[in-house]
Amino acid sequence: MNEDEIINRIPIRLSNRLSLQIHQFPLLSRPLQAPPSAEASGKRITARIKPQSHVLEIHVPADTRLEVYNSERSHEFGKGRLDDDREKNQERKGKGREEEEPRLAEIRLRSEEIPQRNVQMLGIVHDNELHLHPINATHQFRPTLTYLDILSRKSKRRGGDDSDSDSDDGPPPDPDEPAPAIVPKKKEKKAAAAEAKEVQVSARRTDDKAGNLSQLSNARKEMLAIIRAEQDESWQNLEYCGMKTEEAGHSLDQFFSYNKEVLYCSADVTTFLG
Amino acid sequence: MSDTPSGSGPKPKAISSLAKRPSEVTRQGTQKLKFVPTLPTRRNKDVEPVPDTIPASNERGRGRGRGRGRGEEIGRGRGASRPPVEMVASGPFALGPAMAGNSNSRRFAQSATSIPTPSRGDTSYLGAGLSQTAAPKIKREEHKSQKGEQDEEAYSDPDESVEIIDMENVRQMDWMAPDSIRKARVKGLKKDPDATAPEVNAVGTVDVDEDDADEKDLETMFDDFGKIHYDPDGDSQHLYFFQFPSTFPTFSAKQSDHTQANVHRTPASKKVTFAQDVKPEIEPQPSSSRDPSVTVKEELDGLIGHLEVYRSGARKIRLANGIVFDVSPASQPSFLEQAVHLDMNKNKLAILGEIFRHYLISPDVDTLLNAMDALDSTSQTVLVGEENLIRMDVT
Repeated sequence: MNEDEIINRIPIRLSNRLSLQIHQFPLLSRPLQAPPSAEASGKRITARIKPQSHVLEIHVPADTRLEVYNSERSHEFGKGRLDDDREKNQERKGKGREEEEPRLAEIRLRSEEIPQRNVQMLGIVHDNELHLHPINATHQFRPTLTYLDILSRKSKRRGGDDSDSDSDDGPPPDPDEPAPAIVPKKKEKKAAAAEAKEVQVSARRTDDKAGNLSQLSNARKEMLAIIRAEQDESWQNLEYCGMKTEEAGHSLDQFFSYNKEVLYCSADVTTFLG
Repeated sequence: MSDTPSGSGPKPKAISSLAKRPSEVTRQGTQKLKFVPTLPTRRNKDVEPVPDTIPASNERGRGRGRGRGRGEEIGRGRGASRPPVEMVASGPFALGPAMAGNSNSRRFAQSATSIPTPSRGDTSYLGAGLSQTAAPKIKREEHKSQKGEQDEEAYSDPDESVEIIDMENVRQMDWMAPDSIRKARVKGLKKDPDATAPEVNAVGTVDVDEDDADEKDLETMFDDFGKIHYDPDGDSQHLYFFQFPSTFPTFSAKQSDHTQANVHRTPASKKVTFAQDVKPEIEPQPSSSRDPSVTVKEELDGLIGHLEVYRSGARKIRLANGIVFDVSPASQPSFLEQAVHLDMNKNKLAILGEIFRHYLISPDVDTLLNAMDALDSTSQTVLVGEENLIRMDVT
């Protein structure tokens, strides 16, 4: 170590002007871009956020060329998604365009915030200096397939004695607390005819385990409360600026540290000793 | 959707594969003789015999003939030889004897099952509408995929509607094309780029990264920070992710006594100056996501230290007050990561870029130990007669 000579020294600068986040896409190993066919038809990536619940969604237009896209199923799924949106009150008030047959033309990536354990910083080397900036939050994005839930619910109602594995009654009820699984189901049933059957099943089960409703643990209640609060909050649209846009360039300019002065450090190496 | 045509009416909820098919057993319990037709009654031309057995076995496992109504017949006939007449050639001998000896024919044969064969009557050639543009890649993969450009295999000329595609290059075919699994490289390959990869490792093994990741990491880390010295124009604008230990030192812009900034060099050759504005000391790493009202983020902007690049390839970050960190490459994620600026005031989400490489910052142990010793020695009062004794740590 003593003979090791320094061959280069790069000054490090720190700034924290921006609210920086890391977005991870665990199931994606390609850059996040709209496919060229979609860009040609004017579709762009859009985003929206629920600020209080810290949930983001990124909508990426899908590649709708016939070679890689199944139109018939897209109509089916599109209808499911529309119903799903209506249920959750997150339907996009149409921009005047009423599509007769909604298609599943975009992939929705939904975020989950990952708790940060250590201090994380982003660094960019600029002008032979390393600029650091702390990262506020990390989000992981995965595609949402909630439209499939609606469709499976419909097919479950329709084919009551069809023993498809898709139409199982869901996971076996938790022996301690079966009630919570039932309550949201009851809330969301809307169909007329088949509902009678479903309600009977639900009612029977709650009758059997009526006593356990009060045994909902606090943790469970909290979780349910968080989920409901999140569902009640409405989306705010965000303007998505891709990497090469001017807006992103402005943000990048703000990233760098411009002050040449040295910051005072109040800690010592011994802080790491615990 | 066709349900399995079993003898009984409503389908039992039991797992059908475990239950005996009622048609196989007579009332007396003996096995019925099964008539196996030598010719199938109906056969779709565009399905290969190879994946043919797969749906049949799936079907047995699930007991349902959904979507593959004829599968059951063929399932029964699985033990028998393949139906002779309408068989579609596939496998190593698909294109005749010319391809049999070629070492790459096996590779091609895998793709034979997915590419339409000449016997397909349908005119819509599967590959017709592909964009023939390469699928996009995340930037950091450029390094690794540079190898392997070595050989362009010479194949025999394609037949009428067959297009020969190298599985390695499937990514080039279309914007949505999948990634092909990289061949595991043999150590010798690095020095001899013309040698073809051995057949054994051709398929499936992805231990490419594990073998030489460590070697590569030091090199690439060197490239990241070492090259800068020689290339001031090439501001590559790569985004690096640094993970610091949780006790990151707090910085503040603190006021001196209204005098000019004082510059004095410490032995570690750092500059320590004091900025002129007064600001309270606040943690510069707010996890402000959960309670924005509570944390007051102080605006920080300034120099905090230096990144030193050593000849041995080690990197250290030296901050004020004798804090030294080791920089080491962290495990690199294989997925996409973006740095994003979320501006709630303007409702804007701006993508700053993709993260290029991860680094792990840890305190330098030698410095830590020295500091610990120094701390211990200064905080003791040495009594007369105790100079040569070592103090016990009773804390």
